[in-house]
Amino acid sequence: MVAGRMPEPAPMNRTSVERATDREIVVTRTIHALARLVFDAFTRPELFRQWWVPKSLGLTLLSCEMDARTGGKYRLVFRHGDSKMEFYGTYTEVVLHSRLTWTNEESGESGAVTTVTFEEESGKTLLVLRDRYASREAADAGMASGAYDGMPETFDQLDGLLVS
Amino acid sequence: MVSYTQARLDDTFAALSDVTRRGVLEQAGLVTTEKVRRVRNCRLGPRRLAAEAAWLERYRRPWDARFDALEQVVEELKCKE
Repeated sequence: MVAGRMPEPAPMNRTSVERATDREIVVTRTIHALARLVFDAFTRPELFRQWWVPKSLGLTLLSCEMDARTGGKYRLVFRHGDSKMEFYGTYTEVVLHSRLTWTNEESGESGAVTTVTFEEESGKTLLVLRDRYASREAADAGMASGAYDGMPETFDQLDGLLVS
Repeated sequence: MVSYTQARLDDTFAALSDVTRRGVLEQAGLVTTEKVRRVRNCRLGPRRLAAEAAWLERYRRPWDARFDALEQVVEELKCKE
């Protein structure tokens, strides 16, 4: 117990998730910055690697190559315990500071197509990330692999760090 | 005598008696129905709403952590400008 240093409760549900259709999952969040800064954080590897894998997820990002132009490729390599995982695909649409679409090719045919839009209003950016799968089964499997069980303590620690 | 809020009960009954809507709810696993002679019994299905909400929450949390980290990175960019 540490006396006299109670962290403020973090605002609830800043990130929302919706199963928009049976094969589409939409994640929404408002970021307190201009769209071009948020876009840079998505498309410049030296920035992207600082946030895409928060420490609480138990993954280490070993390498991150991205060529964020229409038709360009990306490849991320992670270490999780003793195993390595690779994620790769192609940017099929890149509109500066407003829209990004990429494929997720490591899962073959069942991989989602991800579209991120950056909508700026009053100095803030509404971020909408949409994963569209080929089938309902693929969407179920994709959500299962993106869900992390048994980690509430870790997330509480992270919340504590962020508000302090 | 048991009393229900009539309007809400009517809405629920209307939704479940409509074959298309019932099909959607059944397909989503939110209700199961069984026909016994002329009566169709409807029950909450295996994927109840609470379970559905918990499922979404497990998916939401890692995204929340990730976007918290994104917020930190853009905050540093703002300071540098």
